[in-house]
Amino acid sequence: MRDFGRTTAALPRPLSVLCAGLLTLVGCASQNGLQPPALVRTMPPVELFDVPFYPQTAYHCGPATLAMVLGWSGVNADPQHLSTELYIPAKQGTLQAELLARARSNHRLAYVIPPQLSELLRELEAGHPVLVLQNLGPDWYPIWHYAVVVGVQPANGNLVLRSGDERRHVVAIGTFERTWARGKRWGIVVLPPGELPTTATAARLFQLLAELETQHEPMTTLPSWQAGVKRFPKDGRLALGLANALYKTERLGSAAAALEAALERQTDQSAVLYNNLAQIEADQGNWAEAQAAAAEAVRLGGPFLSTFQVTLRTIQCRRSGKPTDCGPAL
Amino acid sequence: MLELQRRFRWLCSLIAIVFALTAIPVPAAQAKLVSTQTLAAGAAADNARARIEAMLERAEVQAQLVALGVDPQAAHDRVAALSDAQAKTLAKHIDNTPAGGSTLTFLVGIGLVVFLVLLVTDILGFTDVFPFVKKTVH
Repeated sequence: MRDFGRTTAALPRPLSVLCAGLLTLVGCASQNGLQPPALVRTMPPVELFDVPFYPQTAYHCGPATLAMVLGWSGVNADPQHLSTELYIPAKQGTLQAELLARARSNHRLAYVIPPQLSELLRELEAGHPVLVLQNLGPDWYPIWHYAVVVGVQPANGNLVLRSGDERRHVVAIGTFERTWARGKRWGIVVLPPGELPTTATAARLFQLLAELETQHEPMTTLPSWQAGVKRFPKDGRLALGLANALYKTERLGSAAAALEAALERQTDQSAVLYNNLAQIEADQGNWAEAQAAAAEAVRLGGPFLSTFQVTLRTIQCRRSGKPTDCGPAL
Repeated sequence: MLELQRRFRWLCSLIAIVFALTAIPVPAAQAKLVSTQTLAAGAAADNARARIEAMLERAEVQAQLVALGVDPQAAHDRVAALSDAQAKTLAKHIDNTPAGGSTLTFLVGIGLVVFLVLLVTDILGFTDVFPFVKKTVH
C-alpha cells in the first residue's frame, strides 16, 4: 500500500481526490485472494519463446489467443479462420466454452486449471502456456479480454503475456492477479496427445478424455490414457479408459494386459475392470479366464451389476457350446 | 426455453419411442463391455432421458447463437462441437456469460472521465487497460 501513497503524491490535486474515492470503490472488490509475491520469488524465471504470436484484430482476441496455444501444441491454426468459427457478433467476443470446444475438435486436450495463481505458475514452470480470461476494466465497466501467459520474471515480479497487439506485454503480477480475479481466474492449457496438465486431477482428466473420445478416434486419446495411468497408477477409471482405447484399436492382448496390471495394482473400480477383462478374454477364446473374471465382477457388484450378470451368463452359455440356449438375456 | 420445449414436444415423443424400442434387450450374442463414456456418465442406465435433455439444450443454444448474429449453419456446427455439459451451462447462462473481446475500440462513445478514471486505476495497478501505462506497483 505504501506505493499508492507515492504515486498519488505525484498527481495533481483533483486526481488524487478521485484516486482516494476509487481506492475504496475498486479496492473492496479486488482485495480477496491476493497471493503473496513470495510464491513467485522462489521459482526460476520462465519464458516460453516457442509460443507463436498473432496480433488480434478488433474484438478477436479469443481466436488469436487460441491460435497461439494451438500453434504451440503443434496445430497450424489460422486466427482468421478460427474467427469465423468462434466470433459472436452481438457479444463482440468469444465464449469460453467455444474455445474449449474448438481446441477439442483440433484433437487437443483443453484443461481448465484450478483458479489459483500458484497453479497457473506450476503450468508455466512445466512449459505450458496458459490462455486466460481477464476483465481489464473495473467491475462496473467490464472489458473482457483473452491473453496467453507465456512467462514469469521472479526478480521483478512480472508476468509476460501475449496480449492484444503486443507480443510481450509485461505486467506486474499484482495487476494481473486483479484483472484475472475479475475474470474468475479462468485459465486453460491446450495440450497435444500424451501431454498432461501438471495441475490435473485423475477424476477431471478421466472426464476430459472420455469427452474427447466422443469426437475422435481412440488414437487421439491413447497416448493421454497411457500418460494418465502412469501419473495416477491407483486410478481404476483411467486404467479402464486405456484398456477400452486399446480394445477399440483391436489390440486385445494389450488391453487385457492393461486391465490385469491395474487389478494387480489394486486400483478402484475393480468390478468394472473384471467385467471388461472377462469380455476381452472371451473374445480371445480364453473361456476359463473369462468366466473367472466375470464371476468376480458379479461378486463385487456395484452400479453396473446388471451388466456384469449379462456378461457372466453370456460367457457361461457360449462356453457350454450351446448358443441356442443363450436366448434373450434377462 | 418453454417455447422451444413446446415446439420440440412431438420430437421428444418420437425420440422416446425410438429409444424405448432400441432398449428392448436383444439376444445377448455378445457380452458387454462397460464403455468409458458409460462410466463417465456415472449411473448404469437412464441415458435416454439425459440424451433427450441434452438434445433440447443444444437446440436452445443454437437458437440463441443465431439470435446473437451467428449464421444458422455455423451455429449448428458450433453447437455440435460443445460437450453436453457445456451446452447445458450455455443454454441457461449465455446472456450473462462473458465473451472476451478487445480493448481496441472500447473508448468510442465514452467520455473523457472514464478515460481518466481508468488511466488512474491503471497507474495504481488496479486495472490493465492501457499498454502505455508503466506500472508503479512493484
